[in-house]
Amino acid sequence: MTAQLRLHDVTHRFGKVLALDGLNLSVPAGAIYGFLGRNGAGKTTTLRVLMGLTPPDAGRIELFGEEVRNVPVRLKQSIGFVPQEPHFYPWMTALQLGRFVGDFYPDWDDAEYRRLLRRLDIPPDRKASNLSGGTRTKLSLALAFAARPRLLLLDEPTTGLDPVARREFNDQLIELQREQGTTVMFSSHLVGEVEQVAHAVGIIQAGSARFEGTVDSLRAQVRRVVGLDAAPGLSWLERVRGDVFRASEDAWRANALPPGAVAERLGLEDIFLAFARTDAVRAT
Amino acid sequence: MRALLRKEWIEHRLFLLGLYLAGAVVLGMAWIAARNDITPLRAWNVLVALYGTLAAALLSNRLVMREYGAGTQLFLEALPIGRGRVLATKWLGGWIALLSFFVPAFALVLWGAREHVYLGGGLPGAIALRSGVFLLFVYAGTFVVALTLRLRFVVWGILIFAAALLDQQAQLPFREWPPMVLVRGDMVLAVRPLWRELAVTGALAVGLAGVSLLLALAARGALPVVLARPLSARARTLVAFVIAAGAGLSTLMEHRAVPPPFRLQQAVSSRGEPAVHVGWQGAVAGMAPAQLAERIASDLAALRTWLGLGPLAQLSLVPDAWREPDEITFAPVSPHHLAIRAALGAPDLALPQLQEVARVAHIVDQSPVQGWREDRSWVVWGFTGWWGAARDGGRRALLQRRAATAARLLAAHGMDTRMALARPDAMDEVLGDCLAMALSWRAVQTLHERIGPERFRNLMRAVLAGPGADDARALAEARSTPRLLEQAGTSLPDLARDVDRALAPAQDGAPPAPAVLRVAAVPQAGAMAALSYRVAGPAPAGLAVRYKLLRPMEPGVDPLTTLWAGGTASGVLPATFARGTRVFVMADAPAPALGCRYRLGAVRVEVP
Repeated sequence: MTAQLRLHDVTHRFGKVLALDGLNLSVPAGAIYGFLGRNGAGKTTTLRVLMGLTPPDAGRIELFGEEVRNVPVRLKQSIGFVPQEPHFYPWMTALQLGRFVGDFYPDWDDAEYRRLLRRLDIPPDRKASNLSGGTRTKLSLALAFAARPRLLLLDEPTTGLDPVARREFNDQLIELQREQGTTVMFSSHLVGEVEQVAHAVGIIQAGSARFEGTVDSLRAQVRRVVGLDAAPGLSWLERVRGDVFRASEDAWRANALPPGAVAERLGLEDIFLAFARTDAVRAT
Repeated sequence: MRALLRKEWIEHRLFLLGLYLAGAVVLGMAWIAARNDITPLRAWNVLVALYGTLAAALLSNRLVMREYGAGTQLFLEALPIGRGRVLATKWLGGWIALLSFFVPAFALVLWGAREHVYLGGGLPGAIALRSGVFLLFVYAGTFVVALTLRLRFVVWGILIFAAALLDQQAQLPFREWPPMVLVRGDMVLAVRPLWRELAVTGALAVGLAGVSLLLALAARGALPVVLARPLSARARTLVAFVIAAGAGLSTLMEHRAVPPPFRLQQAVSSRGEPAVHVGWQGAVAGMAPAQLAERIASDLAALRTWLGLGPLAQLSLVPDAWREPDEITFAPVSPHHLAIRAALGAPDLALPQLQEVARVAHIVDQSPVQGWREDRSWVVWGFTGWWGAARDGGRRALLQRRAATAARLLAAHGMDTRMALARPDAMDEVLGDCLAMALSWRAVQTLHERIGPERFRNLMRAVLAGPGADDARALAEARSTPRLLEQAGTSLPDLARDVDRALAPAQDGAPPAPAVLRVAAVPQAGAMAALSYRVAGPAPAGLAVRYKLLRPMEPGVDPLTTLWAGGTASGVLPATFARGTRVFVMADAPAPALGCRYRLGAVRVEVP
């Protein structure tokens, strides 16, 4: 599968805080990429770098096969963005917002936008200030998809939504992604949500990637080993945290654990916790 | 950019409409006010300097606050458009919106003034250049201030405070700053552009536009986001403390750098209170300066006690040799300091008149809210005359003769005492100051006799020692003199009848008869006319004909502001007048028996 987006050793500092520390990522084309991390792990900074809002201090960005230092406006025309909290003009209706946003995108599809409004049950003539939080998020999704982007970035879009609204939003995201084949990068700290939506997962901690792969491969690689006090001679195992170890699927199959030790499969949430709690954001 | 401009238009169109309507009203009012100015283009001057500044500040503030204050620039940033372009579009949109009003307004003003002003020689271009650069500077400056978002009021406060400091303490007058020079009075008169001021102001405007861009892009766009956040409670407290401390310090600075007081060189001052300084070394009205200062000071002190006035301002008597002896005027010099100008060295300067003016000056100074309100002006003059004549029989007899003459002149002009007391400005115009003051004295003297000393004193306190400008009662209470008279148990008609009765025996004397003054227009080329005048009968010795152009809403005519026309019984005023101009012409002559000048005649004419 070809990658739509790659980050190579991207570093960014906010003053003394190292927000991105040599981040490497690869988002496959046509996939929904779940971008998992704790609060402050660097998810939003990564998305801002990809939106061209925050130029990286170091590293390279490869977007749609083009290597750039900072994302130019030209490439932003192929990127849709759904923020955590949409700041629409309160006096604009959904239709006015579509007309306004559409002028900035060469591939804007107005018919599709109207269809999306109907489908997502968004009142077209109601002002943005009178829409509920969930409807505003869905409006943001409609605006993003109507631009026919090649890459869609979502920055924790379901934060603040109730479980029903969150589930509806995610279902619609999956359906729309299937229809348009858009590459989606979906940041979240909710493991269940990512498990529901994503084909591939990246876990970021303290500004650098701790894991990348499919959800299944993640489950297959990271396991809890019970009854193993130490792992001398078990060089094929990499300790993630405590009794949680990581090894390739083949390695798990090919190697045997010492007597008394048993490997158990873990849920995605346990795996995420094991990665996320290994260290803290480093300040230099 | 088109979408952004469209968005800005939809977002601000109602505000702009209101702004334009307000501008049209200001222009209309300025145009009316400028009709009798040296040029009707003065309306444009007012529009640019006042409305232009306000409109630019309001517009830029709205453009910035509606975007950054509401956080919608975060929405824009997610779209494929650069921050610089967003800011530039907003900035340019606002500038275009400003010009959309000022360009047509300028064309309208030029069109309206085309028959009154010679518009050749590059005058419109020079005005447009000065106006445009000034507006650009103000707009760019206010935009920068607006971009400081939550700190904008603090920045405005600092700017105003700094401007006031530089203006008053650092000898850098605000009106001399290059941007202010561009919109000063000669803006609509001078054809030659002020290149230095234009260059400085233009450079400042460009620099400020650059600062706007820097502020919007600073910290990769994060600065406006940070600045847009509301101030925390602690920060608000700090700002309030800093402002209070700044205001406190400013009063200290004011105390430390008091503007140089008005001080007469080699003045002779009184030892008693209030301080009276006489700026003349020789005798004044036959009296040594020190003696005069003491006499006026003691007279004023007694007046203060009697009327219950507050602490009196110091008084300086300033010599002015160019005046006639009876031309005595007063004016405030600074807070708590009054000055009287008079021909102190003139041998025929009348001491009673000088003292009367000193009393009037203090009474008016003590009741600034009422000032020269017409309904009480006869009481002010009449009381000061009564105060001086109360213990001076000779003065009373002289005032009585003058009052009788005044009554006769009034009758000749078709007025009676009641009408004169109800309309003191008209009385002054018909009689002149000397006789009008005498008739006022007669009215006050009659009032004293009619209601008795106690009620008279209470009434005078009520009329003359009213609440000051710092007294809230002055806002809620407008005490007209007729109403106060009624409260004292009398009325204006009754008083007028008693005055007529008191003057009746004196009517048999030989006061001068009123003369007829006629003024006629003599058409000149174009819409201009000269005015010829004629005083009926033989010209009395010392005849003086004077005139004055009347402005709209101008109440009485101050003789000191009139211009000399001639000393013969007939002649032509030494000026030509445009059609529609209103002119006041008067003829005075001295009356030896009365010891002052009286008004032979006075007319108001409108040039046909």
